[in-house]
This record gives sequence, C-alpha cells and structure tokens, in this order.
Amino acid sequence: MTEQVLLKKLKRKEEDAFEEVVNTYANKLFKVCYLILKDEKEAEDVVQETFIKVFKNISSFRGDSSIYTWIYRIALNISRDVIRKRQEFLSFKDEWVGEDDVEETVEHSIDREILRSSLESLNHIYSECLILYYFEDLSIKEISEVLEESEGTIKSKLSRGRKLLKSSLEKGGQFNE
Amino acid sequence: MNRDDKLSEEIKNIYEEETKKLTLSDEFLNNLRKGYKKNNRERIIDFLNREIEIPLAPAFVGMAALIALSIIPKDILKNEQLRTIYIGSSEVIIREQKEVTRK
Repeated sequence: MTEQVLLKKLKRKEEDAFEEVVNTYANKLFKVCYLILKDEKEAEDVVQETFIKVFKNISSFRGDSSIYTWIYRIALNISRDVIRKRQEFLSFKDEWVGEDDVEETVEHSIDREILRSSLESLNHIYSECLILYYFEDLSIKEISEVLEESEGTIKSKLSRGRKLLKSSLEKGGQFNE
Repeated sequence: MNRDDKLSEEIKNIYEEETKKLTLSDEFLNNLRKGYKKNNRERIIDFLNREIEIPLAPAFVGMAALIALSIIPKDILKNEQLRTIYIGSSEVIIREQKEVTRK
C-alpha cells in the first residue's frame, strides 16, 4: 500500500489501514521509546498513547510530512513529556560546535561498556537524535521533521552528542558537560 | 555526519543489542487494534457519510430523460384527429385543433 493510499484509507477510518500502521510501527516505536526512556512500561504507555493520538487526529493530518515522520513526532513529544515529568528536561542551547575533532583519539580504543554507560547517561536531547540517526537510520532532514527543529540544530546536536561520548570515553565514562 | 566510523558502529550495535529482545506482546498489539474498532453507531455514521462515485455521462443522460418525461405530455405523439365530411362529390377535411395534456 503506497503512502498516499494508506493516508486516504486512514482518513476514511478503514480498519485494514490502521492495522497496517500498527503492524509496521508499533514495535519500532516501542524500541525507540525504550532507548529514550530506558523503561519498558513507560515505553509501552507512550506507544499506546501515540496510537490513540494517531487514530484520533488522523483527520486533521494534512500530509505535510510523511506518515511515519508524523507518528514519530507524536511519540517523541509524548516521550519528552514523560521525561519532563521526571524533571530531567534541560533546555538545549543551539550552538554550532563544529566538526568532530576528537575522532582519532578514541577511534582505536572504544570500550563498549563505557560507551554503553555513557549512552545511558547522555542527556536525552542528544540521545534522541543519536537514536533516530544511528538506530532508525533517519536522515538529518527526517530527524528535523520529526523533532520540528532546523537541520542545523540537528547536526549540532548530533555533533555535540558524539563529542560528549568521545570525551566520556577518554575519561573512562565521565561527562563534563 | 559520519555514520560509518567505529564510534557510529558501536553506538548502533549497542542500541541494537539493547532492543534485540524487546517486542510488544500479542495481547498489547490486540489492545491497540481494539482502539480503532468501530462500534455500531460509527458504522452507521460511516455508512451515511460514505462516498459514492456517480459516472457523470449516464447520470446526465438519466437526468435529462427524467426531465423530458416530466415536461413532455404523453399524448404529444398521438395522431391528429381528422374529420372528413362528404358533400356531394366534394370532400371536406377538418383538422381539429390538437390539444395535449397540460403538465
């Protein structure tokens, strides 16, 4: 089913179209939300709430972006609300940090366990970009649509996230943000 | 932005490892599907609001035929009433005024 046909059917509230959306995106969203929230139960709740919003608001979706971008945007916004409730939300200062310059320093000696714990402690404003970029294989443009931010901001967040990870690796798993 | 250096590979591998065993249960997925199952009221509303496609040409012809039938009197094609009066060797043909039913 092409995206246009799927959207038309969704707007007509045809059950097979909703079935396809659930089958295609539920597990993918669950994994992304888990990576962001690090909590299975909360990730499940976010997926459930996302689909409720999708079904409820499909008639007002104008098709400015693709369906999956729209669905991811809803899920990411709900995840952010969850994090906000945990009072972990930090505002991101949009600053260009340039290209990676600690690339070679850590290129040859990546300790996976340190990287794993660094990823876990990385602020979600960076990790959501890294997850969408490396795990979901979305392009910068797609991520900017999902997060409703400029491509420059996304590049900056990715670069800053990588830089933080690298410096954490150098210091044995400590951030100095 | 680099996607194929060692750090990127490791990040991707860690994400994949962490989510490898994660999957939503069938019960959960069924509950999601139930979320959009329509009730009878919605089905009736959908039926009343359904889109139908009417082919324009046949519809136009049908409409024209209907209008014609309602406007044109049924007896318009009936034969005219003629009366012939023979007077001697002469023949007088009287054509009576043709009247049709007023619609």
